[in-house]
Amino acid sequence: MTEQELRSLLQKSKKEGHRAVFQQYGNYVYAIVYSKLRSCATHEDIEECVSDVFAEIFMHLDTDHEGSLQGYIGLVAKRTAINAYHRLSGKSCMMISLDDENLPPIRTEEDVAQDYENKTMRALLLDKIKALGEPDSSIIIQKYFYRRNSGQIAKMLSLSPATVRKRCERAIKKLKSTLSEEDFYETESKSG
Amino acid sequence: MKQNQNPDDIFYLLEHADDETIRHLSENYLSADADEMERIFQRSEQKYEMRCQKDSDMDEVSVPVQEKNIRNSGLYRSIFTMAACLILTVGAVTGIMKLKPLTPEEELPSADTPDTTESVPETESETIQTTEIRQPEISAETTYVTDMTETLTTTAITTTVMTETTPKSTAVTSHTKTAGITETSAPETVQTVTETIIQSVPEETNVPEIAETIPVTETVPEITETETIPETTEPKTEPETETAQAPDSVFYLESKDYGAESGFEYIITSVKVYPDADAPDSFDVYYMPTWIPEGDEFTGLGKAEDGSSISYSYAKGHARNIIIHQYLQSDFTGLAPDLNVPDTEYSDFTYTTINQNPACYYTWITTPLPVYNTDPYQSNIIYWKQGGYILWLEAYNLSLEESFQIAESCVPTALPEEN
Repeated sequence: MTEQELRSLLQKSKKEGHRAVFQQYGNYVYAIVYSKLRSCATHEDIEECVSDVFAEIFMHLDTDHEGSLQGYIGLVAKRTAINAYHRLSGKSCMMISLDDENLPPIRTEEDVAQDYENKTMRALLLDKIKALGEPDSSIIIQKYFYRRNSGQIAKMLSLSPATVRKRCERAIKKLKSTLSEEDFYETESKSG
Repeated sequence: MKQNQNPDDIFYLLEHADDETIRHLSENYLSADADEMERIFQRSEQKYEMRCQKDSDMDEVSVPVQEKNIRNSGLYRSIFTMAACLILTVGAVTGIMKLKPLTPEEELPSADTPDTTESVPETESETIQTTEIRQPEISAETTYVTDMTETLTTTAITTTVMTETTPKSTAVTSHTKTAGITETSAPETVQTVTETIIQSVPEETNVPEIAETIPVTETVPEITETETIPETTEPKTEPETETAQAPDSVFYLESKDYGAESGFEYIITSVKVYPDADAPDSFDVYYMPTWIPEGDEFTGLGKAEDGSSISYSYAKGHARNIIIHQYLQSDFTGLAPDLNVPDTEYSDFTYTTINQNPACYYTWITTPLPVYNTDPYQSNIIYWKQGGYILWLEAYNLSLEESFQIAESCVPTALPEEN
């Protein structure tokens, strides 16, 4: 469904429009929130944050929103997730005056070369995971990105936990062998 | 590569994923199962409706509150003005009636005697004392006049505070009236007393100051702004969460301090792991201790129904209990239950190693319920990685050293054949 179609559906019926927006962008918002909160939140916290994001979006989507809907939703999701991160990790923003004479030099931890390497390797890894085919690629992502256990993955993919474990084991071996052929580990050790 | 990462773990690349990766993941893979997504959607709708309702409530509330602000109405002001005038009049009349016997002929026959006038000292306090000693009758009346003046002053201040329409100089007027009455009663001696009274009453400038600091019409709009009320009444229910990881440990700790909200000092803690990519996905062996404290006996070995963990235990009657759980690394984070640990000076969480494998432990003093009539005893929980599995030892009423000795003595043992 295009953004234009979503907007016109929202104008016709809010309820249906909300469901369509959720179906379209639910995975996207969940992935953003999960990536921000994975180190400090439980799955329940993440669910709560995702529902906060959509409640916020539903509140303000009725108005004639201009620009990319996906960009707007992504922005709301990031902002809400960062707020939740600060709340859950007990961290608060520390304000430092730029006029302070004792202000230490601000350094960036961004390493452009390293980031580029990581980006390349990440793209290669995702390609190879996708090449494993279903349900192996989903098992790998659910296990190593979303950190779900075999029981949860089994329920999600309608498989038995034992099957999930066995397929995961084989998929990892296959993935490692494929990545070795692509000199993935050499690149990784250089960049590491 | 990240410093804390297992070299075989290629999936660290997915952490801190950039926008492109997240888009790729969300487009190609499910983030959660259908039930979870439906639950989130229903929750979102619920929150959306609550927020809409809250907004409409705020609009509805703000209008009637302003309409009910009767203190700003003319009727309210006139009633209070009339009441204030009535109180002042009654006060003044009562004062006059009470002071009526204080005529020079009836009560103060010797008011103009030379002794009284000559005894007026320079300081005002001495004036009162001298007057009281030499003329007890005048002193008694002076006290009464003081009381009356204070009453009138209080009335005047109250009236000024209650409504702006009352003249701010009412209090001063009342003093002047009192002074005038007294002057006619006792020409010289009472004149001195009257001056004392006027100075003992708050000064003329104080009355408007009080009236200005408590303006009714300024405070009322603040009360009517109900937007801030829900914020102050909403209790903070979310406990602080902390996450910690040692530099070389696969374990990381998430804890929530519930002490502030519950009144009980305890921490809900969950220890989690970053799983290795090559960790075993099934149980080939289990790690059995070769040393256990004297008197403890093996009480059983069991496997979870879904095959995710193995547990075996030892006990010394009801006095001591030792349980070891063995988890698959990938299942540990999702399955290991949270710990409820008292947050006291005897509680300690530390990262360590066991047989050169990453480990961490919790130790605390358990205070049993009084009904058991036992002494406080030590509880230890040790997590460590061995053979690609996560082992979790729970030991109750055992020293930390002995608990570690058990953990270090664990060796791989073939699983008994399933019936």
